[in-house]
Amino acid sequence: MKKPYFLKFTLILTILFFSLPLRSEEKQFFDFQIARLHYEGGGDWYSNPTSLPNLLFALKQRLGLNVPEKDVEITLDDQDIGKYPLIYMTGHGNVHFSPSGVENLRKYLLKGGFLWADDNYGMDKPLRREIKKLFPDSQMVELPFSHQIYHIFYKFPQGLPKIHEHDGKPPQGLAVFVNGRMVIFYTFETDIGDGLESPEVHNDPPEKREQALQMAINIILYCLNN
Amino acid sequence: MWALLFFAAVSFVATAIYFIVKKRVILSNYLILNILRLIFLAILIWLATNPVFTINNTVTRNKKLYFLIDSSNSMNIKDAGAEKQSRIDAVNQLVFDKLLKKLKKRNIDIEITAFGDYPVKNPKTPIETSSSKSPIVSNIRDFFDRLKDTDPAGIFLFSDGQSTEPASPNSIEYPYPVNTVGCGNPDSQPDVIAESIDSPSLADLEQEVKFKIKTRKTKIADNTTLTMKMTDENGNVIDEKKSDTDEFVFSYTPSKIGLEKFKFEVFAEGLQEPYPANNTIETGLLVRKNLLKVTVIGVPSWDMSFFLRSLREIKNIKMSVYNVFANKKNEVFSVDKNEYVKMSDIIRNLPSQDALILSDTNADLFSMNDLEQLTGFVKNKGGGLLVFGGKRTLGSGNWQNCALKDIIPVELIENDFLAVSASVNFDKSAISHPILSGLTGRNDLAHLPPIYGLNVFHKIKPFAKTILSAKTDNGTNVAVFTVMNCGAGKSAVFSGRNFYKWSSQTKNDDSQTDFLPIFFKNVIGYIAASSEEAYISVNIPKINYSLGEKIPVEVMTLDRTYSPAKEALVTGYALSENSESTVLDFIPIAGDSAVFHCFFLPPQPGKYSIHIEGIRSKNDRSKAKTEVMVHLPTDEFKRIEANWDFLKQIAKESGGEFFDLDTFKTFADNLKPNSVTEKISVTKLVIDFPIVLIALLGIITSEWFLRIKNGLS
Repeated sequence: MKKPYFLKFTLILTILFFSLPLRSEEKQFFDFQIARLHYEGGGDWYSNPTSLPNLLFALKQRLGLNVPEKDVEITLDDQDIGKYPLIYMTGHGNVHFSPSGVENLRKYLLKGGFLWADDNYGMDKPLRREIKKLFPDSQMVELPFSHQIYHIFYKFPQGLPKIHEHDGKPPQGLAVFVNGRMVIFYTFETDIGDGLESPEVHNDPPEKREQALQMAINIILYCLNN
Repeated sequence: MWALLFFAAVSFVATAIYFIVKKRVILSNYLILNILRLIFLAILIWLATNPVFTINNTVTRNKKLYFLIDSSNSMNIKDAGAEKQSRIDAVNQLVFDKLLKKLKKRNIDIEITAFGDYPVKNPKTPIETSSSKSPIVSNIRDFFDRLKDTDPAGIFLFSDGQSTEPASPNSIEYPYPVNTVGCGNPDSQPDVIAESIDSPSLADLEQEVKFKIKTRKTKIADNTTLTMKMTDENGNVIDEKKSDTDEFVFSYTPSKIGLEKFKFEVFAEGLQEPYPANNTIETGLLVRKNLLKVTVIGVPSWDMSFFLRSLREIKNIKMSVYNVFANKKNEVFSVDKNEYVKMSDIIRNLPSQDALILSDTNADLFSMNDLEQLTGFVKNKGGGLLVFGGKRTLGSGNWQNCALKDIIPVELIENDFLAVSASVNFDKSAISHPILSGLTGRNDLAHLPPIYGLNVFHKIKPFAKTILSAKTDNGTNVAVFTVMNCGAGKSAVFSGRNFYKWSSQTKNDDSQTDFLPIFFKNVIGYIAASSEEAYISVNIPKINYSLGEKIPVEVMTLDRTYSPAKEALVTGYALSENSESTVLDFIPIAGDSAVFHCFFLPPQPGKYSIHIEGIRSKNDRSKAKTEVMVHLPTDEFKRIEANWDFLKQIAKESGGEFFDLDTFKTFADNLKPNSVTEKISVTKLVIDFPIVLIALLGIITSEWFLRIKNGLS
């Protein structure tokens, strides 16, 4: 009995030995990675935890992109912020950007970064206030339905899909442009992240979840092509 | 006194001689002989003093008639008489074929002067006027200046009264009456007119443009079908259309670079227009390639988004971006059209592009035919190819087993992607390479940020150039960015990955943020721009100008990073079709010394090529050329009816009479110009009168005859 057990143990060790470095290497060479912003102020930055993994999975499955399974978490002061083409933020409550965080995020956005803010209900006022800190001279503008972000891969002729009721108002896609480039996209009164969550979390109907996924893929592709 | 002494001496000698010869000749004969000799001698001496002779006479002659013929553009309108001949032909027929001979027979002297472009038979002293213009009053004034004190029997102006100057007939003084002869038809009208054209001035190669031509029907019914022909400058018909409306639209796809000239001619079937110039309209179209067209194919990634942003900063770039998704074979997603397109369709369109960028793409994406066309695009068409490395490309993407391996500057090995970090440096041998313009020598770029992951090559090809090299963690030096000329084109390979760090930096600090945009702009400029024209921006508002219109030329010289070159100077000249050169005097626009400006006033119609040179330093210059077209004004005779009222006013103001051509014929047949009587004095040298020579010959012959008769030798 000892011999087969030893053989099994040796085989497992060998597989682990060769596969561990490969897994490590894979992580380093993803086509891109999404980071979730851990902001201050008390809002639940961590809400909709399954949304980004579901989005990444869909990108891998539908488009064959080489992406990781999970998003990473960063803070505003994180000096590695430049590793991520897209920073995602969501939540229900207050948002506060510290002066050093504002400085770090502004640099990131000016150097080519992209921030997608997805209001999970209740984030609107503090978010607008903090965005004003980032770019005091830039206005947040509502994008026309003809904008590329609504058509780049999936077609949304009426603009953002309405995923969650919230106040029952029409959804709005708002953006901040700097030097002609969109640096912030703010999805308001729709809650795309809600629709990206696994089906059992909110029991959203499949068509709503599909709409949310398609819109999120559009946002990712717009970010990577512009 | 001297003459007396001379004759006394001669008489003395003659008397002395007589006493010697008296036995041989009688006295009377001797005297006659000597008298003849004396007369002959006297005449000779007289003639030596140049004596003159004056004759006074009185003569009567007709005064001269002066015909002034307008032969300007409008005189070519074909509305004269039942035969619809041109106005100038009608004048030629009357004056030269009929009238001139009759008047000559009646000894009536005529001097003919013409002004204008169209041929007049045998004009004596044409006035030089501006081509095609007919400023009638100014021409009459010039004519009077030339007449000076001459007293003419009559002045006749043959014209249609279409004057190209605002001067009215009462704006000059008339020293003599001017009789005017009206040509053409005061009620003449065209059937249809080519009214205006809406055309682009600039066009891109192989991009369709549209010409919209508006016509106006005047004498014919509104529903008359019109035909319009579009011809090139050699008269070759490009297209022909029929329309019941007043608008024609022609589409044209230019296939060659340069200025093309087109003529659009409208006509109604079976109708002969009196003035064909009204039925044609010309335009020029400048086809140029100052737009960099770049096709980008790659997996959407953080790396790709960064170089797309860098490329979008290039002035005049047009990018077509395609995403490669692993779940689609032979198809890529067009970001611009929002749909999947076949790879073969993209490759087929490559000849219209300047460069192709492939980012992390596998060779399996292309068919054999695609690969053949792609290599031909670089080798034969002069296209640029830029390849970004990655896990799915080059040696890791099976490039070494297909035609792609022949057009890249490196030799590949299988599975060449290494997951290692490497520090990047400018290759020492490439410090002055154009791709590194504006980058080398900067302190903040002494150490470039690292890349993470790269394709490692077997070796670079013999004629390739390494621009950037990297040192891996284990100390190995590898080429990261290489370029080479490949047939007519250029190719480059950037084997590194995760180079977004160069722009955004892993650590979010301020350094080196502009490196990547400058670097990629240089790379594209190098592999895609076939000439230095990419570094000069020449701005001329339009391509078609009318003669007399000033052409503004604005030039901006760019440095090697495609930014305005602040210290640059600009020179230039305009060259006409006849190789006549005009220097363009550029001055900097206030506040921005990179931009220069000048006006060019073309001296004549035709094509002009504008040659510009941007001088950054003595040894760093870029040249560019563009073209403009200068037309004669085409709206001069949209109203073609003869203006006889103008001629009548001239006659009235000057005290002359107005005739039409028919009444003038009758008038001319009975024309009796006033005669003038003059006293004429003719003074001539006496020696010029033949009688004097005859007299001398008679004297000498008589003397000879007398001597022979008397037996004298």
